[in-house]
Amino acid sequence: MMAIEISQQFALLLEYGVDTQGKQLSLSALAAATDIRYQTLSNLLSGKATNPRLYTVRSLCQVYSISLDYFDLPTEESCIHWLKQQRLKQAVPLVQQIKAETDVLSPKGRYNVLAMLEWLKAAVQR
Amino acid sequence: MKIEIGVGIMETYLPVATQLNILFEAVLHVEERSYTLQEVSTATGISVGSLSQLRTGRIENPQLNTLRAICHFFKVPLRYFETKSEEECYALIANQEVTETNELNEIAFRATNLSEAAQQDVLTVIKWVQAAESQRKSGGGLPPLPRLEDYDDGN
Repeated sequence: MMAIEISQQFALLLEYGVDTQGKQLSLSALAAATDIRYQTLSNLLSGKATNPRLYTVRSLCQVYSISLDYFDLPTEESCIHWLKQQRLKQAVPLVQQIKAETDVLSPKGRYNVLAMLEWLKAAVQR
Repeated sequence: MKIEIGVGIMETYLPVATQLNILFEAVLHVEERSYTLQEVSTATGISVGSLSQLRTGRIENPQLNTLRAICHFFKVPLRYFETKSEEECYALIANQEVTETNELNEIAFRATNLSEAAQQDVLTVIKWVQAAESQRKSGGGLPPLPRLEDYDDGN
């Protein structure tokens, strides 16, 4: 598995990360929220800057409520997993309840719930 | 809410120099002494000069790769450089903090993208599946299908 570049990690953060209000942030919103220069963020995303400074990554972690450990994850898969877990931790009580109930379901039970959810999704799209 | 990255907010964190000095003091060579700057330099690729400046605080805001190399060498997680007290540093060094790396609950994750009504429906579905599981175990048939708020068309 390929080691992940910081530009990719940052791209994933933009895609999956949410602020304390549960909202995704654009580069400009991020610049406004953190005082990191827009150009710095843009360079990070494009891969032009490959080795950001501590204060920059700390600020990013603060905005997205993630730990600095994120920037030491080795693969794209582990980054996505991490960010999804983070989203769950910040979720509303109803979702926390869903998590608690499904955690105790058997694998078959979970499979059945997922199948019914697919059915629901199709029903909405009709 | 603006988070200023000047000296202000970074003051809540321990200075990098303090964090690094604790690592040198607490993480020992097998010979039960501190590592020398040269040893750390050779292992991490960071110059002796840079390490020295980091320890004195002359460099306060190092780059990410430098921090990663230091953490890997001293065997602490990268969040070591987010510590706000010496106690936190020692806890991480002693490996006392455990991070959970459990399997992602896919159903709950997908639910984060749904409306509240839809989330209620998900819970209804789960309860139905739970009832179905226990009824099947006790030899009964399936429970009646649930009425769902968002999708029920009255059939």
